[in-house]
Amino acid sequence: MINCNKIKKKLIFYIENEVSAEEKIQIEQHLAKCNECKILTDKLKESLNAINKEKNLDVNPYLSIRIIENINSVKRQKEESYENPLIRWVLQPAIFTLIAAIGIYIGILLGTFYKNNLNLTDSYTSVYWDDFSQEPIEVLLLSEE
Amino acid sequence: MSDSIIKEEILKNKDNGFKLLVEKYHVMIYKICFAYTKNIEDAEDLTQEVFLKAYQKIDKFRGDSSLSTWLYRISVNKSINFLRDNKYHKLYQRIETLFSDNSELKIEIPSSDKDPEDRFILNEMENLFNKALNTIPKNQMTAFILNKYNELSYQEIAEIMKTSVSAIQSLIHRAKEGIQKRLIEYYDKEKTQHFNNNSVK
Repeated sequence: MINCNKIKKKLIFYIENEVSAEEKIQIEQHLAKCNECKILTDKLKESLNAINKEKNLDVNPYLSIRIIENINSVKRQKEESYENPLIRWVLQPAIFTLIAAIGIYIGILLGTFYKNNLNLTDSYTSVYWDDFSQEPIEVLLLSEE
Repeated sequence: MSDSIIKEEILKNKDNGFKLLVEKYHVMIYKICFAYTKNIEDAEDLTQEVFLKAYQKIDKFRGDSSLSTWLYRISVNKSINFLRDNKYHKLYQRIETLFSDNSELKIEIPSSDKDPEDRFILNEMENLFNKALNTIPKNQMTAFILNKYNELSYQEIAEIMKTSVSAIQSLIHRAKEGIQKRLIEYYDKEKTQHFNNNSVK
């Protein structure tokens, strides 16, 4: 006579029909007498039904079209990014370098223009440009010593 | 259509040949992805990712295994990676919730009803099965899914998982034991909760 604990370990295999003929008879005899194990078997059967429900699951009829579209869109993106290696590897860096050079040139031009046209000899202005020479504190301190 | 004809078509014209491959295998791949994710939207996204990877790698496919075995292997790897990423994502979300407010933390049970549009409704007992399936080791889970959901033979599963038939038998046996053990724990827990609720009333 087998007890409840031994039965409980074999219930899933009994439900799946994976026990020997002898074990099957023993389990069935036990289930006829033991209400607790019978309830447990019913619960397990109900839980295992999740597999059958999932097997009969409907698949989206447009899934195969979506898969092909996804592949095509990734392919297009890749093709666009590598469409012309001349543009990607030569022209693009050349344009960026040219823009940087133009920017530096404009900066130099503006600097030269303001240097030539602004009167920097004015005392108010020269404080900002050369305040050390206007207020030579350190020099005075040194001379005091 | 046989795999050898599909292979020939792919060699002649990759796009047309690949369409045949998608037509033949997309349902099988979707079912594997769904068995892991338990969510229609995630399973569809994963199926697309599987075929995209297959399209990108098919030129390097040497034909050591069959096309179906190769596709199954990609699906299993993608699905396990998805579960792993999802686990960390959920953990991060929980930590975020913990620090953002004091509301009670809810442990999410993987179930089909998280998306209201899902057409796949399970009852309480069936949801417990999915919860139990999610707790067993990933190699046992994979062998179990391929055998029970996709009805593949032990030999086919052994080829997909690159192991022996006896190892697969053992994995499936342990998976069933693990699921049963967890389910009994869940039933006992429910019974205790039910008893406590009744005694409070």
